[in-house]
Amino acid sequence: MSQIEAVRDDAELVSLCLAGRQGAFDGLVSRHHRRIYNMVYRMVGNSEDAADLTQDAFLRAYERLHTFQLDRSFIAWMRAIASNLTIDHLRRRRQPTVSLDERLESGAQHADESPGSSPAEHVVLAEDSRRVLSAVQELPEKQRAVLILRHVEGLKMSEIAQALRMPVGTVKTMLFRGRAAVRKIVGEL
Amino acid sequence: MDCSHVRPLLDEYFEGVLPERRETEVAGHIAACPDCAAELRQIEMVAAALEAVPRVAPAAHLLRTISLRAAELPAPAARRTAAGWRWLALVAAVSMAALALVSYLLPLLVSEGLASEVPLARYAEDGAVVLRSWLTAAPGVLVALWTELAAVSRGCVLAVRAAAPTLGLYAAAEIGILMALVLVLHASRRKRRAPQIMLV
Repeated sequence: MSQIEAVRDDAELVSLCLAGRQGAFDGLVSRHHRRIYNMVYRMVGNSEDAADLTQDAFLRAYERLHTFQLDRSFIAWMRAIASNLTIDHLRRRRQPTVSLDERLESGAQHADESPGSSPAEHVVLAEDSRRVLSAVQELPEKQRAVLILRHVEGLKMSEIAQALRMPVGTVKTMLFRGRAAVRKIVGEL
Repeated sequence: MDCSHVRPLLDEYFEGVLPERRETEVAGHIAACPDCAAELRQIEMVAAALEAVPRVAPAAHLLRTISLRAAELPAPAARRTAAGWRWLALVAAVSMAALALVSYLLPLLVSEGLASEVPLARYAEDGAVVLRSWLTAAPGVLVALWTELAAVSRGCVLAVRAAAPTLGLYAAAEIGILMALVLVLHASRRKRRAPQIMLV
């Protein structure tokens, strides 16, 4: 086991990276890229943009690594960078995203992470989840981000407020309105 | 509580952020009201459906791509030094620009009666008084400091005694220059992609 692999703590990897160990950054990416990719994928609805934005987020983090506070959570920092980049991306695009259904039906490049799952299982989402996720794609970008961070990432409202740099009251409003909009789009579940 | 009061509170009830007393009231209503209970179930279903979304795996090459792209960039520790120099350069540029502007404007201000020439000897004698009045009147110490420096650079014969319009002019010019430089710097950082232009 290499020294990098043996390091258990993100802050330690950041310190090693700042000391000139490129491999330490690879260690951070290796640990967290799937999670960041998943979050971004839920927000943009397609794998190409999700991969590009995940890459941009990690490179942005690399550029600003010296600003990272070692007593903070690295994944929370990454989430904030990635979600804000994604919101900017969606705002620039301002058009409906490629249908998540379409993507899932095509089955390309998506796989459930659980080991041993069959190719068919890779692309099968629970029907409710699929409908709700498709409805989320129709929401305004910030509402979309708030819903994903709350229910997919499981963040508290205060954590979302910190990540998206908005007041907790705004997060609450967006969350409630977002859920109401999704219910309206989806209809009865 | 009736339905019209409970419905707007269902999201907060679901999130568990209602005050305890209100939460008890809402819970009591839901237990007795099938419509509100159904409404709450819909909220729960949306949340549960999102929480149940299976994770997807990124393309296998993503990790490698990020690693290669990062390796092309200057090391973060090196960039810390570069960032420090960039800020120092920015401060120096702003200071120089402000000094140049003040040096250029002072004669104009004198000719317009907004400032007056003070002989060197008198400036030296009254300097403390002049400076104190500046510090009192000016929005910040730097304005007075730059004025004093400009006077020195021009042969030590000018000091400014005045006046709100003069201060406003200086402040506006300095803020304008500062904002322009910050915007240029910000724009160049946003556009920057290639590693060779990342170092200042």
